[in-house]
Amino acid sequence: MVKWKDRTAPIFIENDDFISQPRKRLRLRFALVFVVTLGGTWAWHDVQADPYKEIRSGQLLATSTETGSPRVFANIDNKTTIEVSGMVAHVSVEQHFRNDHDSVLEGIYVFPLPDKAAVHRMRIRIGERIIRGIVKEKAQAKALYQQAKSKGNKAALVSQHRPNLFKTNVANIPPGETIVVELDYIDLVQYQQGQFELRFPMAITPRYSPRVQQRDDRQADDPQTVEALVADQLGWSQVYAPTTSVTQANLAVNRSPAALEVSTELTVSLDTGLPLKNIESAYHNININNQNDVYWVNLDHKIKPLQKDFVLRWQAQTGKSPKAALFKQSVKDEDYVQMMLLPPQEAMTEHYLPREMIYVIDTSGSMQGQSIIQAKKSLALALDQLTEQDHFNVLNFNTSTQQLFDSSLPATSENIINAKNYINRLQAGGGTEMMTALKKSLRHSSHEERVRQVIFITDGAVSNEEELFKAIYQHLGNSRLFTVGIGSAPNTYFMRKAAEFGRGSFTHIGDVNVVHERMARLFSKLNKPLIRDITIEWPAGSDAEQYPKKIPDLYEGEPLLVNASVKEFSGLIKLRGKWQGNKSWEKTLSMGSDVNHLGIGTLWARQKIQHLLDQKVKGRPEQEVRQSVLDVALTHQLMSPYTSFIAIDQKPNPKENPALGAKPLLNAVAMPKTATRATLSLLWGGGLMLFFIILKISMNKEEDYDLDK
Amino acid sequence: MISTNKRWKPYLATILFIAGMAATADGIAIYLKAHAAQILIEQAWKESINSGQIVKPWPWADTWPVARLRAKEAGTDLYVLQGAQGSALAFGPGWMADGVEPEQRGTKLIAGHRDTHFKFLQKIKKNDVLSLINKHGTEQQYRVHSIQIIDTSKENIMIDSREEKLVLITCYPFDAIETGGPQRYIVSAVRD
Repeated sequence: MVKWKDRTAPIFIENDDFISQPRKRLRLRFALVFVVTLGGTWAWHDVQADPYKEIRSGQLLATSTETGSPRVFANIDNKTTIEVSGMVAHVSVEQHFRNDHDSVLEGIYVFPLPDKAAVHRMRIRIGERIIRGIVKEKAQAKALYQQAKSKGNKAALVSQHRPNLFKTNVANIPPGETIVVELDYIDLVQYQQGQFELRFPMAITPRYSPRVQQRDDRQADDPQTVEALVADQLGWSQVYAPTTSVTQANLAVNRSPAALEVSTELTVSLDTGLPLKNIESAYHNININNQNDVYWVNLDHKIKPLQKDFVLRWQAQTGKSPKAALFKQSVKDEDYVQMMLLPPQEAMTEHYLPREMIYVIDTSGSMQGQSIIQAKKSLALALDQLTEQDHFNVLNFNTSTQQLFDSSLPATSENIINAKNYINRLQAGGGTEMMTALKKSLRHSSHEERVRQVIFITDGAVSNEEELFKAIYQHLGNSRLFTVGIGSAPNTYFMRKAAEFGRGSFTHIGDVNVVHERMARLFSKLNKPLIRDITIEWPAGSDAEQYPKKIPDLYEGEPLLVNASVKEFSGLIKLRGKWQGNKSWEKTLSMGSDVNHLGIGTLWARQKIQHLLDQKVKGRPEQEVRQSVLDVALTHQLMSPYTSFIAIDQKPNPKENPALGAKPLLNAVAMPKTATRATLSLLWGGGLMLFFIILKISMNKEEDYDLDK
Repeated sequence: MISTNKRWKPYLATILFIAGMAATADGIAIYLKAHAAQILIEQAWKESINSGQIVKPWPWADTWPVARLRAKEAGTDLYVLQGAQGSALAFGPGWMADGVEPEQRGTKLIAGHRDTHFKFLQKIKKNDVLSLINKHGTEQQYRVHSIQIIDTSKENIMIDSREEKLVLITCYPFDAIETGGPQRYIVSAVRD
């Protein structure tokens, strides 16, 4: 937890989770007491547990410990530029805040990032002071931090409070000063049922602080409650509108005119690489312009405080065959390319490839209890998904492997009932001999035209991961391996990698309550395979480094993304696969334009880092992996196990005395000596020479006198 | 009597001659150094702009050029060195650490010797234009809005670092013989 006591000192945090559990609980109890006295609702305690829960847009919060009316920074201007390339969104946020109070304040800037977003640049300007966030090698970041600290500079804390909350503190904000925050992040566009969706957090929730007396009490007993004060200043939703006069006064303070007249500009450039069917904004009025296949979307006027996030949705014109688009970003000598393959919207049922489903269930001892219950429930749901054109079989393994049928049978209702009875009788116990089960389940199918999907339900408690990966690689054939992780702490590394080698996907079920939802999501996808055995042929000599290395199949409702780094991309790429039974499918793509798409390189780098980290587990020396990861992470400014995001105040604040505005910086002592001794030296020189001449003359006269004598 | 006279006078004459020459040479050297160094500094500045690195004008220098200062009306073109310590001011005007960096926004402070580089300040008038070129090659124009003489034993120079200003500081009076006086000549210019 951040110790607010020392908040003027630089703080450096490299890990993301720093919520201290005991304190959280303590505050929670407080909240409960409070809720009861207020007669409020239970929703309170959620808010209390996470003081930033109500944050739904970028905000600068004051953390002043002074009592009295809460301090807020006026948000005076917001400018957001979003560049969408296919499914990648590069978001640049610029927010202006002002300290309208007459004292120096401390602030915390928080931004609620979308789930899959990652920040790669930050800059905060306070007058001529600049706080810059950069990604540095860990040890170097630490050294920089120490250096800043010893110089008396303020290094800012940068962290993610929870995975998707960006948070940094800003010390010493003088009165009247404007703070400009710039934040750049990369996000992925969501896709569901033919619709793309981009979400930008900008909702401003009505705020007030109805808890003046309460705050004073708490302040007395714990200096750390400053954090709780922040929560107060965030305010809650309108449901808790206060009734006492004290709180109404606070309400007035917080709803300053400045806060209501905030200007908000938002521009989206939408380059999807495909002709669009429609674009719509869920909650706001927008203007749309179309220029060279790029759609420009603006909020149609500068808006008053917004109650909703900005949500933009669009649909591509999809025919009966998959559409593809290419995007490129050039960074230095490297080109990064992203290929997006979009499945047709409502494919004919006959387009779905027939399947052979193999269900494998782990019945080893480690599955006892909740896990086996979850696994059985998942399996029962899976069986209900089968259609008559599918074939299936069920395997279970502990010390040995058993199977329901000798070979896969059609999914007739009789066969399904048999299978359900078989599953019901299963009990957990014994060892985990996964190898035999894997090999048996992956055995090459005789049905060439079928997509062979192996659903592997396990907690992944294995130790011979490497051998298993090798076995998957060797025996996969035309099968696809989908792993389903059971229990609260399955071996996710193993299952994620196994699915990757198996060209499938990994589904995690942590809780028995989500079995239905998660399995339904997996099966709605698995039911609709469209193209299998996809390969990409890059132009000759382009030296492409592609992720994922093995391309998964294309399913309805799920676009496929492939990222690659190439040397000077030019020419055509060829996509090949099998579809509609066993027919071959081919598509040729060329780069439409030379436009530089931001974020494409970053996305590739993220996948590359993941790939490198996996190599460490595979036995590549840590030192080698570290160097490779550093190369990528520093070039692309990404967080990784070897890099940290650090923000340092680049100049100490010269305005320590805020009351004056101007302050004496120079005095007689500090004044430089701005005169040379040249004049003095010349004068001395002249004087001495004059004496010399006089003396010489007198000596000559004496000489003459002597001679005369 | 006369012979004793003769004995000390040549010695005194020699001493006077040597001391007089030394003092004169010292005075001339100061001017020579001040002007000749600017040529070496010009070289370093050009290299520095090309490479983006700090380039020292000579290997043992403890300062380096950080900006270029020009005053059209006074016909002055100077390279400003890092720091306002004596070892820098001997070779060029010095960039004072109390102000912001040349590339930043805010009040910039430069000090110079009243009898060498900043002698031209006595010719500067209100509304004259000063231009400052930073290491990125960006030129900024400043217009002189005030010229003050202050006694630093009685008052301080007030600067507000929020203002975009260029302040040039030198000793006063310009033709004083003694050094180390309390008066300063302050030329303030605001960003055009």
